[in-house]
Amino acid sequence: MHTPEIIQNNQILLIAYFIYLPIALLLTYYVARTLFKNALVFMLDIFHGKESIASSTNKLFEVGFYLLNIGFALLILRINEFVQNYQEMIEILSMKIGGFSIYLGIMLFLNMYMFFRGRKASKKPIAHLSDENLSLVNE
Amino acid sequence: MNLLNLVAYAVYLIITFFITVRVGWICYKNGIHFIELELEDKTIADSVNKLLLIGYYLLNLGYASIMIYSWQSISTLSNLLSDISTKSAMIILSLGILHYSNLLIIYLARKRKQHHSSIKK
Repeated sequence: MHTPEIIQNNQILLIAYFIYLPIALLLTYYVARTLFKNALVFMLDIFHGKESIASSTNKLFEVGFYLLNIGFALLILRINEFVQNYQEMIEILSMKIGGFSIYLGIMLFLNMYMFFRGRKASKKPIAHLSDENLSLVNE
Repeated sequence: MNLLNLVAYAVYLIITFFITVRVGWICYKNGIHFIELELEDKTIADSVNKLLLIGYYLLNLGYASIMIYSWQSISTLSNLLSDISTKSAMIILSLGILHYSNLLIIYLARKRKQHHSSIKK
């Protein structure tokens, strides 16, 4: 005996997944592309204009960004609630996509914060730093 | 035998294989500069880089195939999709966490080296 209101509607679920997947992946791609196109300037600043290591670091951070965010996007794909009609599907999807885009925004600002911090650290003269370390060692 | 499970294994293995190999290759290409900074001998840096790549492949492909062992049986298409994506997400996320911890290790190692060289002066 199946009562219709507790049966999971698999077709609607499948449609929801196929809507969610491209949106999440394209959002990640767009954010990562914009971020790391503009990050190269920061990297060149941090490594004092050394082209090879700056672009390497940029690439490595880009890979890390993709891995973390696509991993998270796929991890939260599963819908555990019972979905019976399109209204519920849209409500659940908007929750998921909204949450994911807030997460992406936080990651974006975290990366920007790291770049600004790196730039600040590289601007500091090393002589000043070593003096500090020397005084620490002598104590 | 469950046909949907077989489909899931095939798709999952293809996805994880491509991501693992591609990420490994990018890290191999771009990581050499950092290893050269650390070791300063070009031949040793090259061989260390290659060994690191092989270790990385063994670790991750092994982990990816172990995940198949604990896979539940799949009955519907929507289950198939969500299972594949959850399992690949775990692989991709662990790759990402490993990657960032590696970057952190490089950063800390360089910082320590700078610290030592400043003490020697």
